[in-house]
Amino acid sequence: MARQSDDSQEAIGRWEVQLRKGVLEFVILLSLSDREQYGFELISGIAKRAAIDVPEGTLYPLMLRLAKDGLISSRLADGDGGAPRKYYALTAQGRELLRGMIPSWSKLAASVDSLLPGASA
Amino acid sequence: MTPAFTDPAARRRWDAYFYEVDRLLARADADAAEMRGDLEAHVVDSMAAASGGNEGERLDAALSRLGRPIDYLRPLLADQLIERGTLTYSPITIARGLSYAVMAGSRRAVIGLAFGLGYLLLAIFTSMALLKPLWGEHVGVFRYADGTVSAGIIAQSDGARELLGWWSIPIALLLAALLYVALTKGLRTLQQRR
Repeated sequence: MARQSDDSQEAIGRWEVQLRKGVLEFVILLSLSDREQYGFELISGIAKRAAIDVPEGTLYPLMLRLAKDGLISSRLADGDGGAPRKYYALTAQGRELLRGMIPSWSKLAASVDSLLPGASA
Repeated sequence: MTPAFTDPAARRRWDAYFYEVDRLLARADADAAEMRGDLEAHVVDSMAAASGGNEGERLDAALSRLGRPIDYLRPLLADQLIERGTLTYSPITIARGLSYAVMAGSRRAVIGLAFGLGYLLLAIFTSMALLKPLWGEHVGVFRYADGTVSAGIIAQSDGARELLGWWSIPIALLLAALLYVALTKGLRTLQQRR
């Protein structure tokens, strides 16, 4: 019985990791829609506000891909301690993609919610 | 941008971590090279944001939250090596990228294995073309007395009739070339869809 529960927890854990990774790109674009942010600020904001706890290192290859796709841009600016920091911002293309993603996400979230036990049909 | 550590053990752990990052990024494209600086800045910020603990503990916590370099850089390396390999038609680069893809996750593993099998088939066709002049009676398409047909490099071909003769060479080379182009274009299409 305990073994079954462990297996189930493990399966839920794997599913959560995949789910978080799947929405990470959307969450990054959403976070950058307010203002430009540097890497640590961005990932700690995501962990705090969206409760998406992924290994922080996964952020940087993803940022590289988003930049390559023309969705974000970066610039170096002085940080708090004087050392330069890389600030990321949405490009016009990224902003346009995000505008298209928001209704898709809302529709998906609403349709999954409607399937949950207790949801009105 | 290495911080001035007061604890030599913490400095060694920092160096070991970024040695691993450098080792992996050496295989990546030039645009990924600046990622080392991004990661260093991240660890410095993460240590500065930590409230308690000594320097070594704050470093360990920051590196632990960042994750192992192999875990987050492997998918990037797989993508970049496959992309580079398919653009240059370099089988070694493609094979290296596929090996990273296989190790990087389940969906990637299935795709990596499928393409790996495709390239194995390609190697068999190429080997057939090369071995036919040397080992002609064992290479080709064979029909046995009971009507069964076997193709490829066959050790036990006694009593079987070879159907293609020397045509095995151009046919095997043509199939190898077609398969190579199809696999490479397929990989490139997959990369573009990601």
